[in-house]
Amino acid sequence: MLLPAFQVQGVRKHHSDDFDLNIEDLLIQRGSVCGVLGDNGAGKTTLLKILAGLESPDQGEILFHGRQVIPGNAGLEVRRRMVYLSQKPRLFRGTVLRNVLYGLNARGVRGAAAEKLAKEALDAVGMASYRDRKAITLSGGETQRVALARALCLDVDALLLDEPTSHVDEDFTEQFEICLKKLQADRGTTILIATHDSALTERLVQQKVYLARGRLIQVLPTPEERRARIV
Amino acid sequence: MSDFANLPAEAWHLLRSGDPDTWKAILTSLHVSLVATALGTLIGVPAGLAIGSRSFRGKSALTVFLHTLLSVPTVVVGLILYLLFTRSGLMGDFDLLFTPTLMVIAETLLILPMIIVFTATSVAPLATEVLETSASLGAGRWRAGWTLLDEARLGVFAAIVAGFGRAISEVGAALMLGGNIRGYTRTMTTSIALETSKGEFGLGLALALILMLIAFSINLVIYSLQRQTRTI
Repeated sequence: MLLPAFQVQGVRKHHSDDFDLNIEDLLIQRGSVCGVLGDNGAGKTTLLKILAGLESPDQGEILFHGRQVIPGNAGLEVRRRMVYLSQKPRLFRGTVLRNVLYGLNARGVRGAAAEKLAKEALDAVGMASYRDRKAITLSGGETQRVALARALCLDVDALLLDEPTSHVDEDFTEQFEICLKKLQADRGTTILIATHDSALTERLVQQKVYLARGRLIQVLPTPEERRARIV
Repeated sequence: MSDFANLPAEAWHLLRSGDPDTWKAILTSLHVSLVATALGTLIGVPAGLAIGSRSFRGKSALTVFLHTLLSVPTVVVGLILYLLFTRSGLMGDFDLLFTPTLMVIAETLLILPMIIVFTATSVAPLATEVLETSASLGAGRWRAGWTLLDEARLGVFAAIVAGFGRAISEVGAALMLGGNIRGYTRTMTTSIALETSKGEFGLGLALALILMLIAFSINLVIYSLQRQTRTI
């Protein structure tokens, strides 16, 4: 049975002077890799932030695994089951390790257990040797990798990635894809990627959501969904 | 009038001789300023954080009001508190007029707008990015707020130091509300005002030098802390 990870119902959000984000109905399948596609300014980032509970819609509601997504402390329990990675991630002051531990500590995971998870995540993105480096000294690509490690080490049900490969080299893009596939296979994590990278989309994405000027113009279902419809 | 060249020697002599009035004035100045700065920090930093990091109705009006308070003359604050705490005043029963406690209250009120405004100005440019990143990683409001303060620490430090600077150098309210009572409410600044009115310019200038040295030492310590944290 196909279960939704996210259900978007009648969502409107003021986006810019030109148009509002306006999505009547959208289902993102649980455990899928979903590409959120569209031109610059189509509303991809706004949609991802609303899904992640970082912004509240002016109208409508978002359900994640059947529970309403709400910004602020009231929705913290639901929001901790997902993580959003910004296009231009910000690392906090301190070492790389301190940054990767941030989300774990916020979830009450501390000490040796937290360090082990953080080290594994840094290793997965090829940044293990940077753990004691000060975050302020990292380049754009290195910052992106550390931010990805900071998201990967959290045991979440959904990963929302906004242009995750925009500042990294091709080698890392390959490594990044392996990480995501492993995450999906091992944990059944739902992965949403807002991207312009058509090659990445072809290789990785199963469900495609096209946006233009804040509106949903096309949703291409996952292979499972297509099979289910045929049957 | 003493020769300017002799002032450092005179100031040093005042300190070394253990002159009780001088030392008491120094300690009263430090006590009043440090307690006022601590109170101002406890109230002003969270208030500045809230104002700088959120959008709410009336924020512009509140910001203009706080900026106006930055330029309120200290004697005006002194006058208002005097009228409130004089025996026949609304709060006369507290019997705080001419006590260090009322001086602390006055200095706290004077530095509070400064700490609030400087903190708000420091956190505002970082707020959206830091709060969003914290929230996306599962931080609650408290942790996210603390993270924002940590990221804006240099500006927040500057706000606290500026508050301390205003408190230790203030004379109008301290004079009106403390009454310049020798050995009790007399501070370095009120001593300087008194010595100058008596024509004792040398003693006044020597005290001014000590005041400058104390302010310099405290700022030096804080600057060193800032330099250490800037690279962390």
